[in-house]
Amino acid sequence: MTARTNEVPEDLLYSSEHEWLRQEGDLARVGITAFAQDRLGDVVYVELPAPGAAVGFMAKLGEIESVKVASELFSPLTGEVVEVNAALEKEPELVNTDPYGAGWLLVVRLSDRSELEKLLTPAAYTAQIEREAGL
Amino acid sequence: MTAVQSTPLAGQHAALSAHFGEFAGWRMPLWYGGAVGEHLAVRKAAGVFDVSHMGRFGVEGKDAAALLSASFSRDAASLAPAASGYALACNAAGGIIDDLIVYRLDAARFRVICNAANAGRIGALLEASRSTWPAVAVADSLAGTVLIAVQGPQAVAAVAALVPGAAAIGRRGCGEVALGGATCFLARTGYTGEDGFEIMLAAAAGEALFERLLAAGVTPCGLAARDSLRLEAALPLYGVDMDDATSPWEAGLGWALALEHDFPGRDALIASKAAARRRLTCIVGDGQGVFRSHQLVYHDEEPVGQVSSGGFSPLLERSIAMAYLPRALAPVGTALTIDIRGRRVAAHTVKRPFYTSSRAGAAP
Repeated sequence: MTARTNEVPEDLLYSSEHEWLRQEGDLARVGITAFAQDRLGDVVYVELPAPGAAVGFMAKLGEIESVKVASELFSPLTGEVVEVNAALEKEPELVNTDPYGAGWLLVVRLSDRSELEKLLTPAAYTAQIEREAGL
Repeated sequence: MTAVQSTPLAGQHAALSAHFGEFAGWRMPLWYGGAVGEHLAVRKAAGVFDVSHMGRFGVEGKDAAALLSASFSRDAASLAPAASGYALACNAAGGIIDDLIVYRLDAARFRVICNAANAGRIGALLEASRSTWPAVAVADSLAGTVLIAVQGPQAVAAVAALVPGAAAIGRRGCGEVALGGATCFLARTGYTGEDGFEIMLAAAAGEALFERLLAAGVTPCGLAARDSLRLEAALPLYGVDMDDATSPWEAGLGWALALEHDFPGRDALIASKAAARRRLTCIVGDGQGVFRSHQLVYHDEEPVGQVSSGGFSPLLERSIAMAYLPRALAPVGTALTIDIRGRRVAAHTVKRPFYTSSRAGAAP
């Protein structure tokens, strides 16, 4: 069951590849947006790097597989992975049911705050998904 | 290229907030709430699918049985009234033009339901056969009609409660009943591995029946669930698991070949039986990741085939696949790996199919 919403929370930043980022002090929590999970359909597998791995800004972060399609995930920041959402191994559907909450993907240590300025604001991301939905 | 077509139920799908996708030139619902939930609803209760994109023909006349027998791999003349038979349309080399079901209503009236992508080819094939049997009427029934499939352990009861006369139709049977003043074609067949009905009726009556089924608690299901259901049941899909170059013997469809009667490809099929070197084999994943079409299958580090159909099985909660493998590797328990975008995932062969309903009977 997917969450039928294109909700774009005001307190997050977004990548053009449909990841969200929530700054939590020196850390950033990352997930995929409600729009993205709605497009993917039921998520059945998420492949993420292990804690300690280095990720690069808008470099491939992992893969997410839904019933219909395999998609690449991209990291909205450069840094070291400090935590991955272990619950997704048994319950990948959390990405669908609670994309901004229990369906988070991982936590990365911020290394370059200037990258945050390259991400989309909620208004800019909303404009992007409205364009994509209209295609 | 013609424009993408929509079925008469497009308004219902939109009202249900369906996710649409294009399939064989049709804009069809892929899922509504979610494909996994829809899949499980069909396994555990009942689901309804709009399959109005599928080709459907009426073939009627004194010689209709002879025409159909001469066209397809099953001998339509041997079908009892109110029975159906799965059949192949083969080319002269024995390759598969389409797979379809022939339904016999009575001595002289038949229905044929085939894949959407091949409706044009089957229509042309039937029309061409009329040169030998000009008195047989071939009617394309697609325009103005709806075809819905109601599938699952509670499907027969759900349909019987809304369609008087449905309960009298047994497994793989067919018949016509009156519904709302119009004729409704009912077939106790499907493509999910479950018991249920496929129902063809006029568009307006079909819209009403679809809505009454929803009101009765039947889950609307899209083509994504239909695909995962048929894969669990190891029912091959035309264009994915088989095509014009596929040997029915290798596809495991030898049971659908009635070689005692003459049909296109028969001689080639008799000659090629012993030459079948591969077999469409069921494979279950032992690791993480979802198998997809065209991924390479390895045994002892040697590439031995590629996935024809793959996907996630909501019932087994594992990735499953079908692939044409050398016969020597088909036995249950053969260790394999499958390349998922550069990552080798362990897998092993299992008995076909992955899933058999206790109610639906063994033969596909």
